[in-house]
Amino acid sequence: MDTQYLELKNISKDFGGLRAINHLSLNVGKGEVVCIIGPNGAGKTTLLNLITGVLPISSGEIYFKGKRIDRLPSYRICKLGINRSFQDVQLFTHMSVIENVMVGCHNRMRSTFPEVMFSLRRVNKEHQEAFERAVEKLSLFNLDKRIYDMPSNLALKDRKFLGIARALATEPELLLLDEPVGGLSVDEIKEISEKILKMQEEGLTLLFIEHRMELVRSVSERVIVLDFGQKLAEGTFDEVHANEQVINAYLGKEEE
Amino acid sequence: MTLRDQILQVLISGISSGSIYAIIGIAIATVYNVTKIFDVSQGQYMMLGAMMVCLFRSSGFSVILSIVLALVISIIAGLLIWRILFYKSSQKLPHLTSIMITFGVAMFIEGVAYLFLGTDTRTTPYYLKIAPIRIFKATVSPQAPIIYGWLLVTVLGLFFLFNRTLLGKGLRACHEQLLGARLVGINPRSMMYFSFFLAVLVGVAGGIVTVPLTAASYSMGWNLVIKGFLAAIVGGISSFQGVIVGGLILGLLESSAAGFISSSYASIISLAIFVLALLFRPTGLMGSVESKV
Amino acid sequence: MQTATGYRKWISFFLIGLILCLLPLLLSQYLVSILIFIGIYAIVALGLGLLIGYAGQLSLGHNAFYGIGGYTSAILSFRYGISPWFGILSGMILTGVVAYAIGKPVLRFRGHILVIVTTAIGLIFWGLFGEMDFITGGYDGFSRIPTLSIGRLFAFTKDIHYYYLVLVVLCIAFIIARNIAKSKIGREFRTVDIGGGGSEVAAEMLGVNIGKIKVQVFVLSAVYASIGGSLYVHYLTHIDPTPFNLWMGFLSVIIVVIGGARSLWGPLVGATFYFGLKELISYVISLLMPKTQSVIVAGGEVIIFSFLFVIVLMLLPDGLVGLPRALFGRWMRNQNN
Repeated sequence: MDTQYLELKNISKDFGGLRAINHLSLNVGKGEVVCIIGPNGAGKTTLLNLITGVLPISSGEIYFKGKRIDRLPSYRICKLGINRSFQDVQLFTHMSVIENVMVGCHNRMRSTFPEVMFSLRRVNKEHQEAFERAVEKLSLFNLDKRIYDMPSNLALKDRKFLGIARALATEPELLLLDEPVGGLSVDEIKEISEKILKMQEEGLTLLFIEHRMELVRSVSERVIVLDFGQKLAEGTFDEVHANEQVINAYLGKEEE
Repeated sequence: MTLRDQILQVLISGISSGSIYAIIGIAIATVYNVTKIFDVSQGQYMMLGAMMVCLFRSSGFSVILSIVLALVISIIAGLLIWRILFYKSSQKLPHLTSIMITFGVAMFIEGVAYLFLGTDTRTTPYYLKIAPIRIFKATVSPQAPIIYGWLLVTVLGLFFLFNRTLLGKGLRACHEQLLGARLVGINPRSMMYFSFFLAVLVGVAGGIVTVPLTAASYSMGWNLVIKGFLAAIVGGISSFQGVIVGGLILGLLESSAAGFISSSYASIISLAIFVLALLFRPTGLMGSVESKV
Repeated sequence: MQTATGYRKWISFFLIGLILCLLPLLLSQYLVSILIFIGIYAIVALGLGLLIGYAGQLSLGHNAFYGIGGYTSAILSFRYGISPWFGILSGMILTGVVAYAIGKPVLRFRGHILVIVTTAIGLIFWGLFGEMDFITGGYDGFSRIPTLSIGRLFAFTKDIHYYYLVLVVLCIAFIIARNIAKSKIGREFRTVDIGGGGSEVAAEMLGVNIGKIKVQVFVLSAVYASIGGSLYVHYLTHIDPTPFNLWMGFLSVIIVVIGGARSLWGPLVGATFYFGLKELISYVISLLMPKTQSVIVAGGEVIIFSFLFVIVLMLLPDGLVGLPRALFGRWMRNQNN
């Protein structure tokens, strides 16, 4: 497996006096499903924000497919094939379900401003194609019957699904998920597990943050444990769960 | 007039008008720091104070009475407006809507002034019955000491308020950490009212103090509020000293342009320079580092 | 992508179009001139509506762009004998460049910075229009600006002709705005409207170049304003700084918001409402207080419209366009109970 796919080399992130990420290095190989776990405040979401360009890193380098991405704005990173979901979903609340996903489809649309102004046939055709692609992504999550609903009318599970569908609409190669099953029931977690494995079958590489061990156990090939912005342990699910340091720092305290 | 005298004159009038901008900058910054809203109507309170004083003076009231009346009426008007508008919690409204509301209020006040006070520029005699002071060949108007004095009083008063009183510290707490402030029992809504009250007070008093020098007209509010805000931001809106420095620099810039280049372009030039400064240094000269202002 | 209403939609458009075409023949010249002003302000408001209602950015200084369009067209056609059509085009280009120069650096920051800077720009340009008398004719301005004409065949000198011209331009402007609003570009505008349910973080992650989008909509709105300004100038054939003051910039925003910023019909409704109500006010005042000065009317106008503006912002966020839903929505809910 090609481990040079996503590479974080010795990155650190400081917020004023607080060091959120401390000389962290990690790799993700193409086609892998990797999960990041760790106590709250360990820097997991910050890590995703750094990879996706939402925040700038303080030092170190990030590479994707050999190309350096740590200085790029988020929209560039999107075009390179990385996308993500958000912990608080961040849906466009005044736009319908289908429109949310269509924004993701924009990534592959080529109409220019003048063409749009005069609504040339090419524009309409491309728009129609984008619409169909969006519906297709939504059908993966059984939301294709509700495309004109507003996000506020959806249950939490569906809102999370919508966030993921939207990210998928950009046709990413690497998908980052931030606590995709937070707040969901065990059955709903099973649903998402299946979807994630299906995405992997179709060639997607996945890196996600999660607390719910049901999900972590069922899909991840490799687990990385983060604490205080540093890598505490790395390995398969079982290896990591047997690790004493990990148990003391994090797992031992878990009620589930 | 020699160059030296010219420079002196520019300095003196620059500091006078700079003080005015600093005063209104402080008013604007006070509201902004607590509520994060840019209150466009702040300029109108200065206008109200100025116009009221002129009105009462020309109707024959004494200086003291005119000032008191003007203060009282303008402040009541300001607070009433705030009360009516923000009865519905302003927190729930989108940011843009809040700014637009303050803008609507500003226009409303201007309209009222236009209607009841007319289009004439009003003025009133100086408060101190002394002759203009001459420094070498430059003239300092008799009103200038009052203006500087009032600026000093305002700054010291606010400094005392923010650093030594519980109320002031409450305001600062809201500025820095809203949730924490709530947790220790500070009511953000009251703090917002109070910051607004302060701002109106500062603005109205500023208008009263400066009108003998600068005259008043119904439309002066826009010029003031824009310059006040620019001064505040370029100086550094989260820092007191920054706002004052910003105001003074703007005033000096304007008077230099008026004195050395052209008086009709003075306002334009100073505005343009400050806009450029804002774009290049958005956190201001002395402000704390905030992301994207 | 909405379900097509087919025939009904086309029929209503046809009827409206018919009425609009017949109107000037039925009304007095004074009323036709008012319609022309409504049309011109509607064009300005359309552009501003995209900026405010779709992208959620506020500009209080659009009088600057209105003025750049007006002055460019007037000066080029009067002083240099250039065809007014090219004058309008040049105005659009110049305005676009200026708007780009201002927008690019300013739109990086949070929204209220745009408000301050655009107001300052509005003040600056109004000052320039008045002070640069060697080009602009100063505070008195100049007259005898050439009217628009189609070659030697036809000159738009009569009000009625101008009405149709403005109507055509408005229709084109509306169609273009509609195409943009319904497209991916319009959707991207809405993703950056933080106050209206947008999320800049999410938008950028999905590939939207937020900085570029904001600048695009800003420039577009400026160009629309410049078209309005040019049309205005060739109608009056006289220009001076008065109509390009800050109040005009404020008025445009008022029109957009009262009409309904989120809808493309809002600006049209708003412009009609403004001029209609204004006429009504002056008529009523002239009845009640016949010896009134224009000051009362002007002051009254400001008070009434700023009051309505604030009311709409607080209670009727979708503007007049949303009024039927606001009223009937309650009626329908009552019916269901």
